[in-house]
Amino acid sequence: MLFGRRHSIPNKLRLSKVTGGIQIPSRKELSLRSRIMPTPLPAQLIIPLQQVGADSAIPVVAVGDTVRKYALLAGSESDAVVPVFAPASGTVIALHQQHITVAANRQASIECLVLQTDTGGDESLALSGHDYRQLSPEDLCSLLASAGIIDTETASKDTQSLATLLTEARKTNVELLVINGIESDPYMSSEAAIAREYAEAVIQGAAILQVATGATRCAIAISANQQESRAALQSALSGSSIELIAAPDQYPAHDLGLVIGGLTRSTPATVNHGVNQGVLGLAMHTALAASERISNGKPCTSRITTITGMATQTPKNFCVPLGTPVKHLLALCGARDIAATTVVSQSALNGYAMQSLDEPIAQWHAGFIASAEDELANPQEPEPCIQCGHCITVCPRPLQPNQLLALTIKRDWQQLQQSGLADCIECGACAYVCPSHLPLLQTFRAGREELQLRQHGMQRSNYWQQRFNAHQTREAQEKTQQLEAQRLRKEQANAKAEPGFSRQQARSEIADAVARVKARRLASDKAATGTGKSGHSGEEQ
Amino acid sequence: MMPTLLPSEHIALHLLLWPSLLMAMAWLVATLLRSSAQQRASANSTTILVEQINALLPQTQCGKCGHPGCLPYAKAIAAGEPINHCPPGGPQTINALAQLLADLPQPLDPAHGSHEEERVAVIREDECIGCTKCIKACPVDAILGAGKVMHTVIASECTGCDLCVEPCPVDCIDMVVVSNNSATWPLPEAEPHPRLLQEIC
Repeated sequence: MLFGRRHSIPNKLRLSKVTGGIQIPSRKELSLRSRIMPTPLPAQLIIPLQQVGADSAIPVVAVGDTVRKYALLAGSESDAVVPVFAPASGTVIALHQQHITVAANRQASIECLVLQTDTGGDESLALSGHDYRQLSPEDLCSLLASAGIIDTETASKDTQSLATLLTEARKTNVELLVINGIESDPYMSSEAAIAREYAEAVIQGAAILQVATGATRCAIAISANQQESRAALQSALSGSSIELIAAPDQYPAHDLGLVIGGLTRSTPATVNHGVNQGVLGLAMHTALAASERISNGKPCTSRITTITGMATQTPKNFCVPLGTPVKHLLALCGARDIAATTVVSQSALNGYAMQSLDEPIAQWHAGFIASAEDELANPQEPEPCIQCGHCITVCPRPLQPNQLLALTIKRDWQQLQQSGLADCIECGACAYVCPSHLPLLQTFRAGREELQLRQHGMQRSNYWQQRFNAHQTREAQEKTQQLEAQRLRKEQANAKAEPGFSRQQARSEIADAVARVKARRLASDKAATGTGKSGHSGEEQ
Repeated sequence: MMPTLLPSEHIALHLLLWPSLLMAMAWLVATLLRSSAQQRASANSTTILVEQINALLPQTQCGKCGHPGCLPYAKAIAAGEPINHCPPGGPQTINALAQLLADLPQPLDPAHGSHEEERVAVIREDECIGCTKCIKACPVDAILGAGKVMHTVIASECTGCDLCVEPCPVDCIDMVVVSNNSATWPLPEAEPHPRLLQEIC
């Protein structure tokens, strides 16, 4: 293989199994039995004004204002801010800080807007769409950037605003745009449902995003075992240049790093959200939202979320207005005894249990599992590691989880950096297979955060050191300049005097003169007292 | 009185004397070279140690340790000063230093202050008289202003050293705790399970 072609994208796109990974029996069929259901509006919507990975938006409405559906609620001129739109018509009843779980083990106090929804009809703004073929890439980008869309990786590890991603994609020449519809989690089915029911819109969204990013090729990746979704996409794709890639039935096939590694046939590297090796990966939700924005003019105010688990009677996918409390959806699915059930957010393997069911649904929520007793493994007392090596076998990255665990517990940060804790994708496969029930995933999460924090602290202290050094250099310079100026002043004063003038000589001459005068006075005093022979003593001198 | 030497004795003397003289000189040169190399090496290793220590210090340049900046304190530690004189670094820095120097972690010396939450200086701008005293005191040039006009602190540059508080003649500088919100989310405790600590490590 030529070195120059190492990272280029092959003509035939395919995804084969990655080393490691696990097979888990699918429970997607629970929620895929019924079609995507629109959600009856709850009485109140709680809308966070800040999205994960973006700055806080500034509200443009005040408490007491009535708003129509799709009206702008908060925004800013800044690119780092994702604007927020009204998911329904209603009255703003509060603006306050609220604790919201934004990731596993992570809560943040975020400014939220509470919207009392109208009991009557849902009154929306009149919106008009465009034909994307008649718009320039720049127009498409600005329309998409102002739609409040957040791109979320399937496992919700990483989120970023579409505006930032588009800017980045247009700066670097993107070769391939991948719409990542792979869902390897055993429960979550929102991407599969979207592909099955909105195949046309997804493909249109993909085409729009291809034009907007300027990618030469575009492909949609979907799990191979989702027959219905694949068939729907396949039939909708006829005559299009967009390719369809089937991903192997394996956990964690959804990870963007693994997908890009597989497509470019290179070793899977740690992938940050954005363009990597000429490939930009975006979620299927993003494609759907982009299509809605361009074709119908609608900003992003809803998402498709899975509500599933054995504790619900009718698990299904919902088209949820953002800000709907989780418990509202659980009630719609006929969940019994909500207070006693554990509700797991995001994924059965690397998700987290919800602390409060009053929390609103945001764009990063893939789904919720209301688990019956014994459905998901209960936390068990960890046993000592028996060095069986299962975790190493299943790790999709070339890492040794058992080693990393020991190092994280010892808090050997330097060694952890070298052993590649930063490369961990937090898929949780190691914790799933561990016979000793060691809390691998949880420990790695905490460890990775600590590593990041340390790196941040290091950068900051380096910066301060630079500033301090600069300050000292400047002070030293100022001091030498002062001394130099003083010396110059002295020299100038000397130069002004007559040539051959010396201060010392002048001083001695003055002293001599004073002495002469004193002596003369002394002599005249003596003469006055009448000792005689004075006369010429003055002349002699 | 020197006895006259026979030609054979002369030769023997030369054969013995010159090699031994040469060897002695070679030894002398080698020793000198070695000692200077050792000196240089030890100087080198001290610089490296100072750099390593300096990298662990928080670089707030607050001078609470009694030295004018973090680098001078790093030098002092390399020369044997106790490692527990840095209040902004707190236990974390002390532990890291102890690990580096194979020393025992000690509690922070209260004579130098106590470890507190991260703070930044904020000037109450209405009260500022524009005396530039705080600007002169700031070790990292984080205060913006000029004579007889209002000053302000650039929060992102401030190390929270509070060196500007004392010189202010009108007491208009507050040290405000940095709110740990949204941008920097609080870190979950990586508290290991007690059993793991006992049996793995």
